[in-house]
Amino acid sequence: MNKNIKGILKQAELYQSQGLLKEAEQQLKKIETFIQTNERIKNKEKLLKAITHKIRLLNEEVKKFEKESKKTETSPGVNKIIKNLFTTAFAVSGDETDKKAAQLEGATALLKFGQFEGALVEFDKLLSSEEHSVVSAKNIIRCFLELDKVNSAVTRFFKWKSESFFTSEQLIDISSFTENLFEEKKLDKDLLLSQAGIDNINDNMDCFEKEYEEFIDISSIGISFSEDAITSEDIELDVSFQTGNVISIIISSKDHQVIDKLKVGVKLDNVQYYSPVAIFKGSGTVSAKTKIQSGPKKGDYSLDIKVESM
Amino acid sequence: MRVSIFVVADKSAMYVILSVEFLYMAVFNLKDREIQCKVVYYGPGRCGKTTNLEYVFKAYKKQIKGDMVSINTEGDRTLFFDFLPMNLGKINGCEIKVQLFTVPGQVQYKSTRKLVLKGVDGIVFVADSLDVRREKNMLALKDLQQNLKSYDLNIFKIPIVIQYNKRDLEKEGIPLMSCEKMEKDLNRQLKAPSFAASAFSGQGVGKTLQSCLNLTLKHLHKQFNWADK
Ligand SMILES: Nc1nc2c(ncn2[C@@H]2O[C@H](COP(=O)(O)OP(=O)(O)OP(=O)(O)O)[C@@H](O)[C@H]2O)c(=O)[nH]1
Ligand SMILES: [Mg+2]
Repeated sequence: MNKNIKGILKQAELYQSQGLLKEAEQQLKKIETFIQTNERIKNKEKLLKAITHKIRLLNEEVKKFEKESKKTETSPGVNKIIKNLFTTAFAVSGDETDKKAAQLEGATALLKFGQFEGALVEFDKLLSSEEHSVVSAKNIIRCFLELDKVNSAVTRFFKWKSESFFTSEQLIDISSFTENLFEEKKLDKDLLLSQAGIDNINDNMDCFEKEYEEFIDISSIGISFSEDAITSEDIELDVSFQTGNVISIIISSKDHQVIDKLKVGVKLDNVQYYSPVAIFKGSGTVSAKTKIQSGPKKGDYSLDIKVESM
Repeated sequence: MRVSIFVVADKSAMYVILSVEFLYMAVFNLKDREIQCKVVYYGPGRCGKTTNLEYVFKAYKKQIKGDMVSINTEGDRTLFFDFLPMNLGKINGCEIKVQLFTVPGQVQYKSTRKLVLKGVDGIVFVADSLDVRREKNMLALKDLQQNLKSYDLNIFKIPIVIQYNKRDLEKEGIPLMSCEKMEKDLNRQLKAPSFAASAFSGQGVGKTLQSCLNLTLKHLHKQFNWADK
């Protein structure tokens, strides 16, 4: 039996050294139970103490990993690599539109990898390109908010407003996006209402509820259109991107029915949220809908759904 | 038109022997006379994807044309990806460049895995031979299939090879699954070429990559050929 314990201990140590902490813990627990339930073991107390200590150390390691921040900003060199490696709209033609599309892809990749500082620089460069100016503007706001630079977001927003850089239609688009984002992040939307707001920002900073909860990672969602008996078929869609409680999904241009149904503002009462750990039933609201203008998914729709309850 | 491409690997060098009847070489003849292909190492967390790349980086110096880039968390778990650029040299005047990537295996990084998979040409699926990781292997393969599907790619059609890693632990007395058992678990339907390996010692690492590059280059050639006609 002693030999057996040694074998299990060896396994535990190996798993731990390979970062397989749960597996290591299971082995240690096995030993703990064995010692506890076996009367004839010598030095029982001492052994138990040693095992409990090992389990405690292991748990500390687990906690350390769990705490580890996901928001690591990487170096400019790495950002460049990310940009280069994750653009498919290759400027094979040397065409300016392709080049810009590739730049947008690169900037978006940085954003998706959580490299907000780097993404900000790229989106700033793209502002001047007519085609991508609005999406860049929106993402600039998004980056500022992700970086907790609400001040900068508001300042920039009013700069665009005063500069007549965008057409009024575009401004409305950017405004509503910004408002949604503020709402999503539980920030004070009044700041966006008047120019006067700017001066007060610093005084108002305290009232910001900066901390928005960490949200569960949702990998895909299922939607049932329950009222509609004829086409009550459920659809399942992969989540392409998630920030907090807003998830983005891509809907193929072929799915006319789905695209028509999911208008901005539509409330979905019967949604299943699939996460890597479990499935949750809940509701949500369509908060944005944009037609994708370039890249392999051109013509498809990108849809934001705000998770309401789960 | 008969095309055969062999990528031969040994401990110190990997070189390409190619015999192609001339006509169709034009298909590789893109703007810069260069083929760029992307191979992604996929698999559950801690199965040894990064270790595979580290070994390739050490052992195939000649074919490596830059630094290996690893973006990790503190505990050496991959956070975004590892990246290693290779250059297999010229085939009929056409430069063959390969980008090797690994994905982060931990479950919560699904969306990152999807990003890294974008534009993939060939896949090395690294399975962990540890008994305790059986289910994780299967979940990772399913995850791969789903992520490929999101790019309209079919796991049965894409060039893929499977590696049963950590075989060295057998002699340490650590419970491992047999390769046969893993074949049943993972490769029954897929029927991909599979290799026992130890990324730790390097055994089987070259063979795995070689096989994957073989499949990938052949597949690319077929695609171009077909598109040409
Ligand atoms: N004994 C042995 N250990 C290995 C082998 N391959 C990898 N390891 C160990 O397993 C652990 C995980 O290896 P990594 O290469 O970081 O695994 P990974 O698949 O990149 O992990 P993630 O980045 O988290 O997905 C490390 O401690 C490695 O030393 C092997 O063939 N034999
Ligand atoms: Mg890794």
